[in-house]
Amino acid sequence: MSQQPLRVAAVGVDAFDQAFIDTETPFVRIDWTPPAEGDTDLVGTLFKLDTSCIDETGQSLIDKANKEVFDRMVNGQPTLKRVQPANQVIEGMTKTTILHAGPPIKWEEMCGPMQGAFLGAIRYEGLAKTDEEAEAMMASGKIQYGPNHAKNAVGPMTGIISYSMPVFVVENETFGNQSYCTINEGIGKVMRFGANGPEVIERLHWLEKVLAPALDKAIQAVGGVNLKNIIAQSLAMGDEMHQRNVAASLMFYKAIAGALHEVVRNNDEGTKIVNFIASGNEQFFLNLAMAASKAIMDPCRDVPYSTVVTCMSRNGVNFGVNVSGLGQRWFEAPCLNPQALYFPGFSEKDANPDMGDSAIVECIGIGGFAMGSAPAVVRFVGAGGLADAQRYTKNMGEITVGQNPALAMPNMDFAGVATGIDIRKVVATGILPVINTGVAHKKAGIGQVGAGIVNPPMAVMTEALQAFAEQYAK
Amino acid sequence: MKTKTIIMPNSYRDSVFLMKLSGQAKERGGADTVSAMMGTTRNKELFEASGLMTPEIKDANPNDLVIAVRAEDDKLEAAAQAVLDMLQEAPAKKQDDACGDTAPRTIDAAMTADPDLNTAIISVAGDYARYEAARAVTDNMDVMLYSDNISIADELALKKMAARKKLLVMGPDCGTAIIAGTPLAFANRVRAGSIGVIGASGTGLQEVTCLLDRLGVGITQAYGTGGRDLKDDIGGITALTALERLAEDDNTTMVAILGKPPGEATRAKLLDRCKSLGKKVFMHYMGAASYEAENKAGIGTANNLTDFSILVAKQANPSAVLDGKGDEHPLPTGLKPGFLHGIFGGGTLCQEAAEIAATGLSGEKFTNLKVQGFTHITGKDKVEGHLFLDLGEDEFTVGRPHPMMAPDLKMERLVDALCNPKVTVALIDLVIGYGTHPDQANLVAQAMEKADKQSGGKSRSTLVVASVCGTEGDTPSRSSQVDILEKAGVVVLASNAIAAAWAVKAANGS
Repeated sequence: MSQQPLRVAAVGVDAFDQAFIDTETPFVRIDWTPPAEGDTDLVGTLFKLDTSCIDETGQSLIDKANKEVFDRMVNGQPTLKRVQPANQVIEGMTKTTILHAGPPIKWEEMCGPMQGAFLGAIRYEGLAKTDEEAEAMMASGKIQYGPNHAKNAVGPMTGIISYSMPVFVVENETFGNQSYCTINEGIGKVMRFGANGPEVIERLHWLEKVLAPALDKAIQAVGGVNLKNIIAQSLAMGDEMHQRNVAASLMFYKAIAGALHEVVRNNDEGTKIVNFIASGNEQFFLNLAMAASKAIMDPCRDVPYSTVVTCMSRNGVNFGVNVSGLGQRWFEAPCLNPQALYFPGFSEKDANPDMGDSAIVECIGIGGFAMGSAPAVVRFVGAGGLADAQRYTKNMGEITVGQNPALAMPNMDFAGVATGIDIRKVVATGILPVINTGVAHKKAGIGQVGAGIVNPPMAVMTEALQAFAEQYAK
Repeated sequence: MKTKTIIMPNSYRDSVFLMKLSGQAKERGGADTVSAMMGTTRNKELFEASGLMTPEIKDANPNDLVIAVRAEDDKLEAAAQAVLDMLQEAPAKKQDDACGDTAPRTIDAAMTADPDLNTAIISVAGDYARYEAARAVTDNMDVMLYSDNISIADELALKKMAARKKLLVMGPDCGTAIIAGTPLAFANRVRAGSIGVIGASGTGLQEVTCLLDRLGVGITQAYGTGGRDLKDDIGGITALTALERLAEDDNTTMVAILGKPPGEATRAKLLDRCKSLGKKVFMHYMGAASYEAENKAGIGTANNLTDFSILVAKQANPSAVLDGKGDEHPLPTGLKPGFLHGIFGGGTLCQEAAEIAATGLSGEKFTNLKVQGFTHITGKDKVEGHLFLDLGEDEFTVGRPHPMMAPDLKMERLVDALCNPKVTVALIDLVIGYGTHPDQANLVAQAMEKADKQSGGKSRSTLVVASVCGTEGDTPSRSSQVDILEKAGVVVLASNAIAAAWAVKAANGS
């Protein structure tokens, strides 16, 4: 290698900069602060990863693995194929199986809304008539339960999936894997916020018996719906696909409208079905965005040496992450409370800690990561203004592998969304992923009381990094 | 006397800024001690060691700015306020605005913005510097690692990684390099030419590159390696990579290597590579007993940096002549034999001067470096004899800038020497160029005036001998600094080695 003219990155004192100016040497001064918030042990771990995880030519094995994961993310093609009962598509689903959001948690340790949703699901399945009976079943171990993420599935807030519930079936056509997510119930008293009264159960039955079959037929009739295209177009229309799905929900309706009309035109409930999808719920697409994100992320699991986060998820008590190179191992710490705006009459005293699998959307770079492209949402989620939102989005670029050119943000000068959260960068910069989230009331059944932004606790990142170093830094 | 502690959470400032601030705030506020540092573990040890530790400091985080002020009871509040005022006056770190272009906060971010970056200069605290260096190498950059406090194991890990990518890690503790015409850290404006230089010492590299410039020949590159590179623990990894660069560079026709004597295995490895380099090679290992193997292989060697530079220059241009006063410069008459006190900012220059003095001076000789024939002392020790003091040693630079940047302590020691009636000659070095104090010659003149007053004129009988390491391209230029010194009555010789030899003669009397 011959000596090239210098282009300098300067880290530290500026006492020597005059030489660059005098010799017209291009240089950039780094606005430096101590890495890892000054924690020298963590800096030592990062150093060890950098210097030991290299191949014979000195190239970083971690960067190589992360690039592979990034490519898989960019190349993922999630397509909605069917709406089917969970028991027909999710492996190992029995009449007494209940899946939930977040990392694994014991029944006794669950928060109020999660327990409420479990009881509702047991009654919905006809396994118990009352909450008391349902509680007795939980206490006696008659219900098998565990996280959605272990079954290629996701669900918002409590994230409950039980045997009979219809789920979207999304296939990543590039890699052939499938993901599953329930149908969004709408707003108000809904199971995802822990509500389990008769009207909730009734609506779930309607979704199962009336809506899902019609939707399934329409989707099949159009030969499936490419969700990535809808996500890309809706980004350009001011959705970030976590707190705001106004455009995306309509884009989805547009994609199936003709076929849906054919399916429901002789159906007594046709108007109700169309209204539920097209005008009843502006968050209808959230569950599709989640399933699409899950379908994109699952092929990114288990890539040796990759430090990319493959899922972020919360069970209302703990926040958990998985990291590609560490497989399905959960790194958990107590959830933080969101910084949120509350609906009139509610305050943070009412807030349940952060909950839901929905942070899967931030894993692919939408949601909080794309806030800069969703001006309408920024006040609602507690960001001060557009400038704050754009700063959030820019900061996410510092903790990710790259920008996804297929998901461009017009408001950010068409930059691609920040893609592939690298735990090394999170720990080194101290910048935590930003997640847009709804806030559930801590009592089951009251529902959503606010919305805002939330971060993972730093401990999940540092613990994952230490574990990664134990496994890979030789 | 009381101590007041101020903690400013999440207020990062760089250590050189804080060291300067500590010194200036002490003057301005009338405090006995001001110590402003970030709340890192290492800095907490310094607070502990200096007796300034308080429970608040113990609890501080690494991102907290910690200030301890010790002063007489009635001065304490004013002294503390002075520090805060000075922090206010200094430009605060720029707050980044959301949409405008902002400075990148990490090397990775800088690399994303400008993928053609190829060199990182790193001067943050060692615990963090090793990581930043690893990042830079990962991002395919050469690294100039000015920082110290990096373990041998970490240095080795960094250099092994860099070597696989044919990248250079210059350092740790590398003070000087000049690459593709760009001076890095303490370095001078020298002419371009055909000589490639590899230096394991900072001021040694400055002395040689400046002397070559004054001899009318130029360099292609001057790579630094850091002082430990040639030890067998490291095995000369950086020196060998630099050699490969010079081997492949058609503009480089000759190679000059300098440093302290390498480890045996490393010395053999270097020699071996040089034999097949296809270019004329010169080597100078300061204090080496002999160069038998090197000379047998046709490698040019000399006894000091001046003779070495002349030897190299003459190979490029046989009629090269060094300007300035040489060894033959006449001694003033009537000098009484006495002590020689050498007060240096450049470590290699101090080492060289002491080694030259080792045989020429009788009586006990003291130094804070390791030199044969000398008694080892620390800077605090009072000595009765000849003295060679390197103020760039760690004992003087913990918590304060290098004497080449801030020569105040050096000037204090010069005044002490001049006021000591047993000292016949005070020998000093002035290293000018990037990073150094911009008017050291006037500081010397002021110190001489101060000594004059303090001693009631007696200091005038002490001869001040100096060399100035620098070039006409530097700001201020070497000749302008020489003029100021000569007007003040300093005898300025052509180089450090010549000044040392001449000072030894003067100390022996005339």
